[in-house]
Amino acid sequence: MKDKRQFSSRSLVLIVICVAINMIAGQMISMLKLPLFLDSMGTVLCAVLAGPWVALFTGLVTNLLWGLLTGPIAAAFAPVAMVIGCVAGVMARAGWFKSFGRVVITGVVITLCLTVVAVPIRTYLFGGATGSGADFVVAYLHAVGEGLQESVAFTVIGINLIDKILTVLIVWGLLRRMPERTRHNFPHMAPIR
Amino acid sequence: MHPFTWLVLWFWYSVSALFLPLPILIGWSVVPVAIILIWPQARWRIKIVMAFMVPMGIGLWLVHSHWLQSLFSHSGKISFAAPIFVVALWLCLLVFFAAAQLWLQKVPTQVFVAALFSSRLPVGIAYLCAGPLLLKEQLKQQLAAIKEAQSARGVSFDGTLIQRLKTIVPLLSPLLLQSLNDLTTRSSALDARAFRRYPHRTVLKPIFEHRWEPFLRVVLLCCLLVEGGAFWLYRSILIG
Amino acid sequence: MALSLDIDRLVVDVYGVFQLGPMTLKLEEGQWLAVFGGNGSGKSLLAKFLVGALEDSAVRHVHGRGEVLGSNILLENEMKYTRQWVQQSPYLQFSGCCFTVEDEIAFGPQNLALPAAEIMIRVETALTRFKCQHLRLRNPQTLSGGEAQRVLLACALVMHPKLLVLDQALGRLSPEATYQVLDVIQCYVQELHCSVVMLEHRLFPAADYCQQRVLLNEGSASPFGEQLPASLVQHVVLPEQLKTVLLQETQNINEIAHLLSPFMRGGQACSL
Repeated sequence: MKDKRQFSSRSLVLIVICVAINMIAGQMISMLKLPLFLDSMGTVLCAVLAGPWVALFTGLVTNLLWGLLTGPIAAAFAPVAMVIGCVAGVMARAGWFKSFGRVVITGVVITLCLTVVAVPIRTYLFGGATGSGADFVVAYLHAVGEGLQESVAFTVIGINLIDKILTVLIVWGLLRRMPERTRHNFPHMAPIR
Repeated sequence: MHPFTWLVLWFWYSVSALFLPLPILIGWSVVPVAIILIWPQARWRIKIVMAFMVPMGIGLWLVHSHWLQSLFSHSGKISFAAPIFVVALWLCLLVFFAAAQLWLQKVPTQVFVAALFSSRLPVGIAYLCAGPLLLKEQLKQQLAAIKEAQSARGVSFDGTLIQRLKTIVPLLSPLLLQSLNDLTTRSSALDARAFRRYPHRTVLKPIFEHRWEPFLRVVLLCCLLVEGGAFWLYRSILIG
Repeated sequence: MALSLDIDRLVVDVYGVFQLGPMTLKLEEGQWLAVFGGNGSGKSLLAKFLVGALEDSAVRHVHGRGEVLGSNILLENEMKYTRQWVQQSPYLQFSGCCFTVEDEIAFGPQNLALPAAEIMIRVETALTRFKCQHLRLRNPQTLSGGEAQRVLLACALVMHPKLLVLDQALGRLSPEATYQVLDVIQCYVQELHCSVVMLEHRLFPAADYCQQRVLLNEGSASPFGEQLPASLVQHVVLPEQLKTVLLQETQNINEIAHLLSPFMRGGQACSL
């Protein structure tokens, strides 16, 4: 089927599926009682299956919808989700999803890139605080002489590193289990072996 | 009023708070909180506001006050003061959050989605908002069913952290596979209903809008520009 | 009479599956065609190809001639709303963005930018004919299997298609409800001069409504009349009594067509 539009119906449905996966992550986390977020699995999945642009929109729509459901805080972090999708897509296209080691490095790169975007948002919009336990760490670091941005960056990396590495590994594991028949539907999928 | 008008009103009210001097800001932030308390249907939302704003306030105070520093420096005096900009920031956040809760109370999600569908925005945008809201309920049910099936097969969800992490892929794999296999069917179904075939679709139930509302929206946005300009001018005169 | 389907010695070679064809099918406007076949016989593949849902990348090569509703399906393969394909699983074929059944049925005509009054008439007619008025404010995801199938058929027919492909689309309906729904479809067929292709595993009730019948076996289609009863029993689900009778017959089906008549009910006239 030829589609001359920017996004075909298939891409729109894929975005919807991936956004829904992002949104049920919370249910899964409470089911398994894990100290993680895992709320970008759908975005990373979309990045590998369809590329950076589509994943960017997945991240954007996820945060906008959470903003619609719970309040503007989630919507303020939309750029972070967009960066996750974009970077994951670019890394996937460049072949960084082919082996276990590469996938871990991809997770680290994603964390670093999202930190670059998250730190200004947290520092200037929220004064470096989040209302969670991480504030103790930021406060401590800031009190012993680190700059505010550096303290926030350290906390962001600390919280997100394990979470994002695990997210990327889980998506990689899920895609490796995908049968040939399903993979056939995604001709533009990035290489995962 | 139309949901979009309420949205612009929220936006104007919240962003204006950034330009206000502290005394007026205090009053400005009390107004939405007062409305939440006075309006019976919205009263329950005060708990949500408190649940966010109180830890946020404590966090901001921890980060920016000199209390920790004075603790660590072992100097004689312990200071609890926090800089003024922190108070202003907290009040701005209060305005944003409390006013947003009022908007959420006034405009339920379904009404907003209906407004998106009825508007002149591309229908793809409305679809992207409505689709996940409906799909996530389906996926939640499927996830619960898969967990039951896996439990029956002997997979334990109560083990150590590593064990629980290992159950994620078997739990999500059937869900994901099902969704991706269904992708073609779902998108063919959309295409068969001529989705996005023509640039404009018929609106069956237009959302009621007063004639002055589009005008009001433009006025509010222009107000913001004027306020922002005045604020910037004032700051540069003060600095210069 | 214009031909809805004009397929002549068509062969479609698909990756990973068998070859579909060679087949020759001719279907006039307003007529019904039944394609019978077991699992893996290529029914869904044929359905996909007829409505233009088969992707270019999946097809290795095609030859022969195939015209559906006047357009050559070998050259272009776009999903057009004049060809509606209703499949087995109803929940996947809802738009996924409508919160009520009413909105769901109106979704298609709204996309066609029809006038609001026309859309209301079409939606009301569909709700009445398919007996779904009591479902109008329900969330489509909460419908039972049979209700969902009826609503889905309403969604398909409200687009006023010229070709309706029913790909085992009535499996969740009770036998009585199946006949009712087929009567409603016959109503629409008479009004719109729409053609219907039913792809089924079971002989009835498709055989009741379809004048033309074809057996699909591993991709190759052959008219019913040329089949031996034994092969029919092998590939198609039949009522038990008919099965025992046919197993004893050795002539081809055309000559023993009278054996099928006790099992036929005949369609009811459209009253709405």
